[in-house]
Amino acid sequence: MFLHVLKRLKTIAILLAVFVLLSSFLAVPVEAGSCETALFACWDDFGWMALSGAVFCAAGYIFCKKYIRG
Amino acid sequence: MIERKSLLLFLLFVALSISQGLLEAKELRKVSLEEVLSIGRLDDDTLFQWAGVAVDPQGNIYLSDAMDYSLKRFDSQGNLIKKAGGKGQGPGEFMAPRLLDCSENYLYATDQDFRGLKVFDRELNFVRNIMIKMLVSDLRILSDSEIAVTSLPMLEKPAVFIFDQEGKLVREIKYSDRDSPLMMDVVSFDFDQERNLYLAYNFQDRIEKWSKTGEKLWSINLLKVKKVKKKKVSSFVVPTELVFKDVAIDGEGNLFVLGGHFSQNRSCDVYVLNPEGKHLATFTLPDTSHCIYIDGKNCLYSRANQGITLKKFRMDYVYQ
Repeated sequence: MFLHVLKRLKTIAILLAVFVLLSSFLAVPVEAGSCETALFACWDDFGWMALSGAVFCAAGYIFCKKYIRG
Repeated sequence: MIERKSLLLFLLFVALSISQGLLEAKELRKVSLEEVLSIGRLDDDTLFQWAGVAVDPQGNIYLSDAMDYSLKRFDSQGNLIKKAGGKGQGPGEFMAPRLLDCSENYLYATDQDFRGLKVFDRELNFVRNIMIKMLVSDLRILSDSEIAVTSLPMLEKPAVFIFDQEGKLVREIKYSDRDSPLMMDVVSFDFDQERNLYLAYNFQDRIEKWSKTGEKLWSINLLKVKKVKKKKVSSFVVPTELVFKDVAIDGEGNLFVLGGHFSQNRSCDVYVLNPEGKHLATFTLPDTSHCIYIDGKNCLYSRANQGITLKKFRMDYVYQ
């Protein structure tokens, strides 16, 4: 029984490690403080479920591109 | 005697025709800038990060200042006359003040996250909101009953929408029917005196002229940019380089387009085109800018010191 639980835990640990590794690969490769980072954070907060939130984030992104990143 | 008069009239007609022809052949070749006014310095707190600019026929300058959530009115000499607004979502308040334009009577302002326009009188007293149910990405006031805006083409098809003073849609000029990739159809726009529409795509190398009845008159690729870089952000691919940042039209009908990241001098080069889309000249602003504005006296306004300073230039035209 104990061995069975241990085996399960080991499997979960491996899956978690793979997930963390994959997540880091999927992360947006952008430099800190860039407009893309801000857009990513904004979309992450609002989510694409609400399209109006996505538009709000896009408006900020375009302002950042035009204004901040001369 | 009659023959002599006829001959004189004929010669006069010929002379007038030639002079008219010469005038028509006159073409702008160069624009030089002379700084005539500067508002805001690095060592004062006049401006923090101005975003929008408008100038009334008397030469008063209105600026939206994003960092202190305000509108500011300066006289033609650059003296601060009044400040209004403040942070908030109440009447006349802003969370992120952006674009400005003015009519004969009113000043119109956008707030980045507000679906509509905020209207002030020339003394910066808040008058009312105009609710138009879309986030405004560019704005031109043709008159108090013709308010032209674009929104981000994500919820609507790409179009310039014209609303009346009540926020009722009067007409729209659709400039694209296709479903473009995200943000690719975002434009800056302006109208000439005949109400022809000029568009400069922010993320594409494309400048267009549309008639007031909504027909495309011409479309050009000015910078020969083949591809704009894109990046995957979250689950979506977005363009990361701006081709054009803003457009403005002078009193003679010339189109001024501020270049972005593909220009030789990033965010400084301004391309001048005639109403037929012919590239006439390019000049360079002394500092990077996010926008350009041309007033009724053909003075050009742009940004310096990353938004702490507004520069006003007199434009001198050299003709061939």
